[in-house]
Amino acid sequence: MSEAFFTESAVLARDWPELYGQLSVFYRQDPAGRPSP
Amino acid sequence: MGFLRNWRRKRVLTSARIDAALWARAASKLSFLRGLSDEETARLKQLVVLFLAEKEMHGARGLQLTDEARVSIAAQACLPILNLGLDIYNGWVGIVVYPGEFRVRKEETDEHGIVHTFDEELAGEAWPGGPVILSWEDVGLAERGYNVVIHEFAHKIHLDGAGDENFPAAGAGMDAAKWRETLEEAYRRFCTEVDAGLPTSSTRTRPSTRPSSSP
Repeated sequence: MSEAFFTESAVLARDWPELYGQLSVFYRQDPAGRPSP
Repeated sequence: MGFLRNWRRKRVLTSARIDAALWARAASKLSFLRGLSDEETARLKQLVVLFLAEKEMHGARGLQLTDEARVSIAAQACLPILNLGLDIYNGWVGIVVYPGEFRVRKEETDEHGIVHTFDEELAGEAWPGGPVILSWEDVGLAERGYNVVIHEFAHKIHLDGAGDENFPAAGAGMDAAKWRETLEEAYRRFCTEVDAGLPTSSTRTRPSTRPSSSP
């Protein structure tokens, strides 16, 4: 799950918002909020 | 100990930095680093310098690790700890990189107490308090949703932290019950989708199946 959080953050945030939110608190990062590459 | 470590780290950072061209080459293949701000990139590079100074990375079975390979693995290992700090990776030093998937002998005890031995091909493995083992072929497949380096280092964060075998401990200031509940629910949903043959939108793995239980 962590690799999806960092490498496919927009999809995880869209399809698994609760999980994304918790991982975001855990890692103290918001990769989906970064400008997309 | 902490004081000494911090002093050593400061000394490393004043005398070492990553060659700009080398960083550019490694980072160009890791699209998920492109969204980082300049400040975050600078901090990630510092972590990479310290990580490479403190860890020992070895190629196995004749694999020669290039500087770019070392920087790439270190950058992916350090991305998850960008805001958590390098101390999470204290207590072990080894990273072993095989050219491709590697075979390990596993033992499992069944409900009758019988121990079964079997061989398994792995793309990566993380030992609690011990080394991380990676398949270079799989590191090279780093793409959206499949990333063996981040996967195995997430295992390290889980295994070497508090928490039990199945669940990593919640971080400081987190609602532990909500954290566990969310992971359990996500895992249940993931299993249901896999069992139903649905394409799991955000958790594609390499076609070969491999165990995956870390967050």
